[in-house]
Amino acid sequence: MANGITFTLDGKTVTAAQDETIWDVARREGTKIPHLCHVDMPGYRPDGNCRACMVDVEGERVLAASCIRKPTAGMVVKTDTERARKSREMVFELLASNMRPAAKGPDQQSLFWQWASSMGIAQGRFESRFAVDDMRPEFDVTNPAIAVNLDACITCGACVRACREVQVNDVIGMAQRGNHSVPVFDMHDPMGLSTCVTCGECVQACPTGALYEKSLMDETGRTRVVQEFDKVIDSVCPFCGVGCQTKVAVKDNRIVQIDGRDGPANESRLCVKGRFGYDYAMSPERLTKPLIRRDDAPKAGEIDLRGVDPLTIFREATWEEALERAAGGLKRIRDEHGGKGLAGFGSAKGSNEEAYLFQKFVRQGFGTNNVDHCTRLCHASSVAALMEGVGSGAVSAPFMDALKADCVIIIGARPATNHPVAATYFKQAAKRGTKLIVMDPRGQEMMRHAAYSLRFKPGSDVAMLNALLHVIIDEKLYDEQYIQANVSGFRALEAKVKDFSPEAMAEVCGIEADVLRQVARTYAKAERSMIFWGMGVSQHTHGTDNSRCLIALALITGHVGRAGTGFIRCAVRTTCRGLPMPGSSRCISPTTSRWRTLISAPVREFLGPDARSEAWADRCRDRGCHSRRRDPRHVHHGGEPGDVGSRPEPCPCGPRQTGTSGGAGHLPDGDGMACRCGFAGIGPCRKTRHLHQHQPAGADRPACTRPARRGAARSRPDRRARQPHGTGLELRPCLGSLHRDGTGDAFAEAHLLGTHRTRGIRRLSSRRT
Amino acid sequence: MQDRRRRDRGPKGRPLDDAALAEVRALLGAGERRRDLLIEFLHMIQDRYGHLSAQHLRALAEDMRLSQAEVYEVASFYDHFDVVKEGEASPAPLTIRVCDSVSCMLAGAETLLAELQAGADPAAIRVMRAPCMGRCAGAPAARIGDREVDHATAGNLLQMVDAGEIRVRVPAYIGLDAYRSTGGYRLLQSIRDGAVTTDGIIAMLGNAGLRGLGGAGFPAGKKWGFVRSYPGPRLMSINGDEGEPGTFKDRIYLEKDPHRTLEGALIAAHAVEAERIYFYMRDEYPAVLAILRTEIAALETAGLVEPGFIELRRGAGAYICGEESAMLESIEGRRGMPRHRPPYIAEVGLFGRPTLNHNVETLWWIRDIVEKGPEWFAGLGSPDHPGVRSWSVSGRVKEPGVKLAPAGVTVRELIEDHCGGMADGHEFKAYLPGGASGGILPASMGDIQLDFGGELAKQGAFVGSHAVVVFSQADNIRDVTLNLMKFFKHESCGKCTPCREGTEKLVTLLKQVGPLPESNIRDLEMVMRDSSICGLGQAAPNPVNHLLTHFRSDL
Repeated sequence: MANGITFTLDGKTVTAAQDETIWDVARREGTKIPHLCHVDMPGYRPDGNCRACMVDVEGERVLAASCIRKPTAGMVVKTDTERARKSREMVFELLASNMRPAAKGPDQQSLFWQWASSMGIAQGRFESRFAVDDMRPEFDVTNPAIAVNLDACITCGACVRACREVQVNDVIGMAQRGNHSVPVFDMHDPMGLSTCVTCGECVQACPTGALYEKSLMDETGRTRVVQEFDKVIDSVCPFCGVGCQTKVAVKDNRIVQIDGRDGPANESRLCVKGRFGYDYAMSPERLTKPLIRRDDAPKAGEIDLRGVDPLTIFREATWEEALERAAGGLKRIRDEHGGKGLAGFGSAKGSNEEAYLFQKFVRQGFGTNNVDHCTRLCHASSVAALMEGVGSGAVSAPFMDALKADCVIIIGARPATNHPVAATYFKQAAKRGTKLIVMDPRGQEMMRHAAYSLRFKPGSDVAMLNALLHVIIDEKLYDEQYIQANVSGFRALEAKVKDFSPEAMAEVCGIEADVLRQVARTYAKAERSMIFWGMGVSQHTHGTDNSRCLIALALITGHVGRAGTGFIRCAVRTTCRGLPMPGSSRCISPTTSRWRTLISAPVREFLGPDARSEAWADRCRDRGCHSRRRDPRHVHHGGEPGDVGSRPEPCPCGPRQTGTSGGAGHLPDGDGMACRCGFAGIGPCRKTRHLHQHQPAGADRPACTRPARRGAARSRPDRRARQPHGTGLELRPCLGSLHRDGTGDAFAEAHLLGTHRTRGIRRLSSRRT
Repeated sequence: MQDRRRRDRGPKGRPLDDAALAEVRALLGAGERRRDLLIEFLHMIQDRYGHLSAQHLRALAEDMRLSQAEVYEVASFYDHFDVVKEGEASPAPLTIRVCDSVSCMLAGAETLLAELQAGADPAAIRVMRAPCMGRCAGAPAARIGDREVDHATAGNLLQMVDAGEIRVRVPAYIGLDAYRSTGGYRLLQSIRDGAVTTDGIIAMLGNAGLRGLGGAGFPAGKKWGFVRSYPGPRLMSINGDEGEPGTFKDRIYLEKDPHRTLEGALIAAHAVEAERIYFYMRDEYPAVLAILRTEIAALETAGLVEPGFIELRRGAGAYICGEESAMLESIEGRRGMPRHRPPYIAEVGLFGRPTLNHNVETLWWIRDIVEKGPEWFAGLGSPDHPGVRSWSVSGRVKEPGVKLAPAGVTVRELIEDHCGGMADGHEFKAYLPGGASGGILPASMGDIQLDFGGELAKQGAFVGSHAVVVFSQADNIRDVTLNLMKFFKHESCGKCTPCREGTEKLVTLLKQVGPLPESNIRDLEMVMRDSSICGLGQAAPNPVNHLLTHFRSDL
């Protein structure tokens, strides 16, 4: 490789990359060198303290620790000399001398014993350190999920690095000195009484089982008893919106352990929920048979069923009977009152597939559009603001980009509690020098790492943020070029925030004017800044306004569209962010959805007739489409009977329909002409389910070369094509942005997830995650 | 799920006590809570309250925006901090520390300890063992509060307690005015004026043969060249933490003529364009600390240094912090753990900056070498062994103390010509050429020229900090070895397996009755020498090696 470092490893010439250690290269070349304190997972730096990985470097007086030593050009390294081998064996023998025999120890399959048995290490030659000096090994089972057996501890510090550098919870330290060295929680407190959050990173890192999951051990928490698993399944954590990838170990049809998997969102990290929060799956309180209300049980909304025997209110039934009862009841209402007598409310605890089925069920089954989603509360306000300001409800950066940012604002979010794994990246960034600015009326853990902690008066978000905008505009800290190229409405914003000086707002929001100025300057002047906001901003009477301020902050400073910049709405639940996004073409969580919005109609309510800003007023306000009105390339999805959320109403930019009566999609400047793909008529092309802008007939049009969405292709397009239009099938548009075909003719595909060039963000990758 | 936490239990872990926080804030004052000042803050609390209560540590963590573990792990590393958790008893108001290292052992430290423990009221006085206090010429040594005591007996110690003689006693020394009146700081001025160039000084130091006198023996001037070759900003540190058992020359020089070291330091700092000097001083020398505080302030008042240019830092009772990279960790407010090399501290040192580090005595000689000329200094030795050295001699000699003698002197010459011969009734049997880690050699090797490298190195020994301890027929070398190994076990930082486990196993093996399992010992020696991270682990087996080689009759 270019710029590589060439050296000799066991007689063979090899090349190392700039940041590779001897151990890395050896592994790549197929030479296995024992290791203990070196945790071979992303995010762990080598520490070179256990000395199990010693190798011989020619010309050096002492051996070298290969896990931490980087080779230099021409170095001659030998891993298998007598000297190196004997040292490594002695290290293992010394460590094993203090431990119980493997079978009685906390984990006989630990990395330590795997190596020790492969090297033929014996115990017994040296007396255990616990046999002398009145030293008793620590044993602690106060934590509900983790057992601490420190007779197996080799003080390698992996747990310290796990807690302090990877998760940055800062609970574990290495205390005392010499052979009294011991990992401690807080001030050498019992683990269960310390500030430990039981994320289990230390368990994952520990090479000897000194910290181990109780679920795999005997009742006393001393020895591992579950030695094999029936299966280990790759999965994703079902809890929050980060989307950590997991490995679930199952035995006897029960989950016995969950480990982290190296996914893009978590890099093998988990939090307490993902790692230990699986016992609900096996809870005896789970429903296992359908239950139907007993005829003699009164219906009352306020009954608290916790602790109540459900069979006093319900009786067991078969699936058939229960389904009959439910479907029958719903059908009866539908027949009596029509579709509008029914409604459905979905949840982000369901998977994307379930959400799709549910809305299908409501629309097709009930025959109504009365379907909504819990994300209405969480994200609708943010999404409205994002659609308006940016044209996409997506987040613009992965949260790991915090590591590339110089300044990160966290507002309305408590990531250390709600998105712990995401928070680890913020904390790591803070430790590396990124300036964290935490805005939260309540104090929170992230404030310990923050350069500025703003505990503003609840409800005064807009006052505070407008003050920041004021400072940025007043002191000319905005990015002039960026605004000219990408942003409209700046003058109106400037006029608006003129009266919102920090001095005027200090009283209102409860933050000193000086602090507001410093915060604004820090954010604006940093090379790369990000904003991370959560429910505190969006679950709010004026959540949309709050979000507008944040978006404005990012847009006028140009902190968007580059690595380490942008904004993120943290999603509370797994599919929260993906499901409602009318405008997302880039989702970072592997669980978020690419599928269409369920909230089109209500969004329109948000986008009411009152223009909030000049930029806003210029936009076509039809459902989800925020093209500039004058832009001929945008298409309205008005009128198709089966169109999601559609209403047969004229396009606000002036009815230009031709020959339609609210039927098919109309064209702002065209006349319903033959689709270039041959379909003459108005409406979606049946071939690929795209919505094409119809070109004037007669012109020679090239076929659309954009491939259909993968989703569309997968779902048997033939069958769909045969189905008549307007059956309520979900339209699945092409995921692309506006493009020109180079001949100058405008040819665009309507898309609902548009990333329009004219918006304030640069074109995001069209590659779907 | 059995473990249902009661609602509103509040935040996890130890709650913050507001009164403790107020006390800590008042004590620490209004200054910035720099992370690297953690050990200084811990000292303030320990000095004021006599111990570090869990509540005060929690409050300190809150005030410094650190976690509890970060503060606790540092406090628990050092001997001079007493962490007292909830429910534990705080130590008695007065502590008497009795040295139990090798020279004091020879002088009866164990008896002294036993007598003291019997005679002192435990509610009022805590009697503790402590490692070498650098008063080996006045063995057995002790420390009552902040008062250092030579030739201690249980009787006079308790008398001093009653008389209230527990404050630091500062000996007479050459102060700033006196130092200047005899030509002090003129050299510094001429260097600052450009009359003498840095390259010129580096050449002079090279010709004089000035080597690092903390134990490593690296050519002093060459080090300046290395540090200068890396881009700035650069920093400088003075290693006043040399705690090798048997060493006391640094204390003597600082208690006699501290400005000579300070001037040498300022000259070196000027040479490498250091932005600040961190003077890390043993906490076992309260008198020296008092002297340095006074004299650094005097320098600032006299306008010879910018205020804050020389920052004095106290150690907190850890021999390993005399190892240069561990010392830098301690200055940064952390546990004193040696770093991996490469990179060396000349390239990546304090706070990641290129750092020049020197022993107290190395700096002490710079003024003389430049003013009197390198030939003068080199000529004090011999062509093969240029220069003069300060030998801290203790043990079974008539007149122990710091002896100025040429490099390459032999132990016999030291005993006969400098120490007035062996003490009455004692016949020369063995000696430590370089403190606890330099090995033990028999009298039959008493004519080896003592210097870096050479014949000593061939025998698996070294001079290190030039601490020579002399043994006689009254001393069993196995007991001596055990004493030295206990020292290493106590002082090992604990980071790497060979040293942490090896020192402990060696002590256990040496303690056992009967013949020693020699192949086990040799295996331990091998892994410690080959695989320890720093010199402590690599050199700790030296005494045991020599015990098995030269002193089999004592086994």
